[in-house]
Amino acid sequence: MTENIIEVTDLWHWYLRGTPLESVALQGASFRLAAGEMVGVMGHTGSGKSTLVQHFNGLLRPHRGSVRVFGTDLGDRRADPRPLRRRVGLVFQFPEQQLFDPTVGDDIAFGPRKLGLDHAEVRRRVQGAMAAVGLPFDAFKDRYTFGLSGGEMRKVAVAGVLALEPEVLVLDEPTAGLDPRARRDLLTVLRTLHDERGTALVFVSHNMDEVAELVTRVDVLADGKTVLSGSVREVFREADRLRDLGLGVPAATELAAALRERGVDLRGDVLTMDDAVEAMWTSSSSPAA
Amino acid sequence: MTAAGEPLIRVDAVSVAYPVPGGRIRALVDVSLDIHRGEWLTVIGHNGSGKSTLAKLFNGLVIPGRGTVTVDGLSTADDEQRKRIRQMVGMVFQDPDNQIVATVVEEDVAFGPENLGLPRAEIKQRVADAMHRLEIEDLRLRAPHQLSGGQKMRVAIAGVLAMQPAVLVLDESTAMLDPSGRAEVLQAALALHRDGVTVVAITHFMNEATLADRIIVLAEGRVALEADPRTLFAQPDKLRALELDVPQVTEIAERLRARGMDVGLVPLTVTELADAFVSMAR
Repeated sequence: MTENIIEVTDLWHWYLRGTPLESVALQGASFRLAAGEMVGVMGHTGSGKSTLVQHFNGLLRPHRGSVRVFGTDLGDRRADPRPLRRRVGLVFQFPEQQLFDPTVGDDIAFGPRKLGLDHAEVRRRVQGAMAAVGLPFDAFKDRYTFGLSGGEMRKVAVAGVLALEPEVLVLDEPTAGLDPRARRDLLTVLRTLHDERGTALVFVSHNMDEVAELVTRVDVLADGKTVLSGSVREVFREADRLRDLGLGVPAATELAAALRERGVDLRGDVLTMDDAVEAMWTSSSSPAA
Repeated sequence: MTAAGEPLIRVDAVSVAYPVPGGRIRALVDVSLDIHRGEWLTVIGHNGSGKSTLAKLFNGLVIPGRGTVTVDGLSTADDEQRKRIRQMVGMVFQDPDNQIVATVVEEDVAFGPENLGLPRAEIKQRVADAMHRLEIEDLRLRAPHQLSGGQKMRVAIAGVLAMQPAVLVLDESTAMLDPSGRAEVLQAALALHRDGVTVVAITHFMNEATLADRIIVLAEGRVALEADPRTLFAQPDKLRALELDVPQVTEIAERLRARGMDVGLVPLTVTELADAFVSMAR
């Protein structure tokens, strides 16, 4: 039996609590992550996704409900979240705002250096992380961070967290603003980290196609509550519900629905391009109905 | 006044470089292009290919080291003319929070026209018109921070529109939005385009690029490809070599074709592929 490394139950969080501008960000969100799992978190803008994941390494503390991460109860004010930050790496939205070092190499090396690793190991990790996000080491290590394009800055920020080699990687809209090749490469890297190192993954995204391709389980938030939770196939079967929630389904799923509407007999759930090609091929090579 | 048929924006032999340690990075290299009145031009290209630098040329946020940029015959290099250009070229960026300045939607939309020193009645008219066109009248008195991403972006576009620009530049304005927010913004941009507004859109979403009349592909600061969407997306290998891609439905058709199943066209939308597949199967 697998034990959950993150377990969130009935979580509530308010911003500017006790002021006239008070607003509730989470009102009864739940979440769990088992070791080595890949989970997607979806929801419209303002649904509370970012607030939820900032509880995972103790950046935010629960106002009500419980958050346990690697056995630490973050509802306990005396609990020190700092050891968790080595184990749970968080890449924020607009991660370029996390950059602060003048050069790319130093910025990515900052975290590993803080871990007290030796020079060779820091270098190995920086090189590995840069390769992972598609920034050639020699061409970019001495570049000014603030002379980079928006997409390149995002790659640097993601590399900075990858270089920490955390056990859990939490990425909040990591592919927004990346070019198609960089998106594809980042998904490959995340899958490789998972397969080879057993890294658990929390992937917060508005991109239905990427969620369908990467994760096995999905949670959907709306207005601060967890409203759908299940396998990626189960969740994407709820197309109408997802649209009502400001979301959608992957392009391949949309295509399958359009084909079925036109009387084409497609078998199984269609979530990815592979699924669509297979289903369309099979449907047309089977004897005509 | 420019004669009909003259391009609205002309970029002529422009090069731009930024200093980096030990040298300079060339952001744009000898780029020439025309943007015509009423067209929808989309610019795609990998991260660092020069897209945002190109966008910043259009309103003189970047003045080229070499070459010239003219908008309706005015040069962005001229201080006086640049002021007029800034009113003609409306820019909308990725993060609406960086562009919204007021605490009430209506005041935010009015901010630009107020700074033009227009008469009160004119400002009111422009604000009302812009909010109507972006369908945000019901949000008039709301605080921007309470709005969804798509709503905020429509407020930002309304603020730009109230300046009555000749061209609307969307620099990855849908990148951070959820699917319904993205659809809202694209619907709004399409409606403005139908009303004659020239649109220049920069995006990493290939399915959004299919909305364009013409697509320009930048690579290493140069114009690498230029074509209408269907011609461009019929060349997946060239696009992938430039770190780009084709829309998912185009790729699905491409992969079926590789197996010997030809749907008979390069589909750009779900509907096109579904229709083509059904008529092929018959």
